[in-house]
Amino acid sequence: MVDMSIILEALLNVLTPYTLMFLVIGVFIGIVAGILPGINGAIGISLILPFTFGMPPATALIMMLGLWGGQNFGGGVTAALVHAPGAASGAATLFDGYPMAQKGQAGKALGIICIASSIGWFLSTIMLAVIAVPLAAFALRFSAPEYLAVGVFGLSMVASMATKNIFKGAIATLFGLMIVSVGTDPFSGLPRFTFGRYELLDGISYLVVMIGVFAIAEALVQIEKPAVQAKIMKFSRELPTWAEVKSLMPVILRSTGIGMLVGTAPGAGGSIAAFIAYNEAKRFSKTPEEFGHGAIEGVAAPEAANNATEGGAMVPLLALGIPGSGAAAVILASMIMFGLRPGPQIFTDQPVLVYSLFFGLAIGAVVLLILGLLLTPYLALVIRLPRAYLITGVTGIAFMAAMAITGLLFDVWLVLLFGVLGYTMRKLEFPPAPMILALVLGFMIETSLRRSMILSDGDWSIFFTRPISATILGLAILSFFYPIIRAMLSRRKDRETV
Amino acid sequence: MIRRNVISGSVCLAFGLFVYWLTGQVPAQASLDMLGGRFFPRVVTVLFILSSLGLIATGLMGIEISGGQVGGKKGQAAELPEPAEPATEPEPLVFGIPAGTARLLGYVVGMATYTVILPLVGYIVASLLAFSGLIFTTGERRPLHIVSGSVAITALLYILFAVIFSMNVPEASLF
Repeated sequence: MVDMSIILEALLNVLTPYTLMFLVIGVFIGIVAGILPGINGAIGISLILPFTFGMPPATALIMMLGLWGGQNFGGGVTAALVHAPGAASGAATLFDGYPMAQKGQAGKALGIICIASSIGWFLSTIMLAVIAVPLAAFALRFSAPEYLAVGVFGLSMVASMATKNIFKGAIATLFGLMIVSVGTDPFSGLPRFTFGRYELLDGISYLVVMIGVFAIAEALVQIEKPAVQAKIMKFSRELPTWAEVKSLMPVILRSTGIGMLVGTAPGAGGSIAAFIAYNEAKRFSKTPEEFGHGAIEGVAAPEAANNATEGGAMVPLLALGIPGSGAAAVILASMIMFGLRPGPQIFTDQPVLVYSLFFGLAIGAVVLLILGLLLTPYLALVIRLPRAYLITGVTGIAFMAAMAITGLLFDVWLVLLFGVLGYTMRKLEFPPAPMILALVLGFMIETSLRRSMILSDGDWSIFFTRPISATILGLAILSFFYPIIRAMLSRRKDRETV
Repeated sequence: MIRRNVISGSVCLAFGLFVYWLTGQVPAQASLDMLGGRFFPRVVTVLFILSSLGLIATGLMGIEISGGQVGGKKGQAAELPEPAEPATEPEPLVFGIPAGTARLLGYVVGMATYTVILPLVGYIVASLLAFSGLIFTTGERRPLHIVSGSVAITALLYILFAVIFSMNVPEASLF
């Protein structure tokens, strides 16, 4: 039973003008970031993270969560107005959002996007609060072997899920684990792979890698493309009617459930949830023939789902310490930087912080609704920003962020190096998200492995004699090898058919 | 054969073998910790090498094994449709190389130069020069716009981070 005084303290924590101001700023930055091409939640959060060091942890985290929610909405805005989603999570919205805008209903489309996003976000926060607490209580039974198993499971899911080539996903993941090995051995204190450089004694900061692989790599991808000024549809300021919003509630509720479920799986993010929700909305619709031509359900479904993934991704993050998405990985990194330990202990060690995050998320949904509806007429102006200034601005912020982390110019070089690496990975279709997740989880995986061996006096069977770790490790192995086995069987069947 | 996968797999294999050799320099065991600092990077590197071999093998066979089923065909991940890129005129070559590649190289060289001159001339001067170069590289050709854009971005970043957030920025060592 939760102590009401903790909940009250958490609520008062969030309702201070200071925290509310940064929540609004976070949502606003997120909306702008989502509209701007190439800047997603992970990039936005990793860019502002170094500048939150002076804030109380709850305020900083709430601001970042607000940014995350805002950028999902922003991605839908450009999908509807310009036929090009600013964030990947907005890709499904353009199927019906853009046709609506072409019919002169852009204001209505943006209104539906805003309302669906806010409701999806709000409801998933409630589900988060309901699910995370008992899950965390269960996870309190975890010891070093279970943490290793959960870490390996998270990485195997991310390496294998939604990648075009499972070996590329594995290579990216393992490369991230290699980077984690650089620095000082956590047990012996001896330097490892530092090549005599003192700057590497503390290892390579995952923030530096994130800024390079996400922000700089995206700048490189954008700069290579020819400059095209986006054509923006003119729009009316008409918003959806109350009857239309009421009619959308079943779609929004179903899509929120889908988003929540997809969000809990490591590696499955907003874009996947959005497409599944869109397909399901079409299947259940009384007028499926309208989909693709401006159906309001086709706009509401993906937007509710992609915002609901935020609450879903926070479930494994808070309860198990395993991030459910790239943006969640950055949130995890920021919690560690604030000296917090995500995982089941956080519910007993820092209950006020946890409930503050729940309240922050819930209030963030309301802030998004208000800001989104107020800003709708002006959001199109952001898209007109010339690419030259946008890329230069993002690069300037990225380099500033790199300098802010340790103050060493060495980190700026690393950001550039990882930027080039991230660009190369994108070109060769190696997914960067598994590498980032490996960076964040790698320390926990290695220390859990070595601690487990100390606990068991070198007996490897500890991982398979404890039922929880054995089950999770089994699932991890299955999730990685199943696509390979399936592909081999499929090829054999095709050959037999021929 | 998927040449791109064979080549990238081969590069990864070579890198993995090199890192495996490097792990030999890490101490093997400590008194309490039977695995030592070498074990984890070695295991990771071996798995990396095996994955690289898998990539080369599937590349030679011309197949791609995709991950999880997400509403797509059995055995294949769902194809997420790419938003249509607007049609553009082909760009002229720059010094004999495609314009996009030239911009890319210009960006990387520009940012490397920026990092070198930062401690020499300080943040403000280095940023004014680098951002002007970057704005020019990304396609802006009007001198007034280049200069004013560079000044505006430098001023905005300096005020926001150095003044409001009280960040230390590199100062000039040359003068």
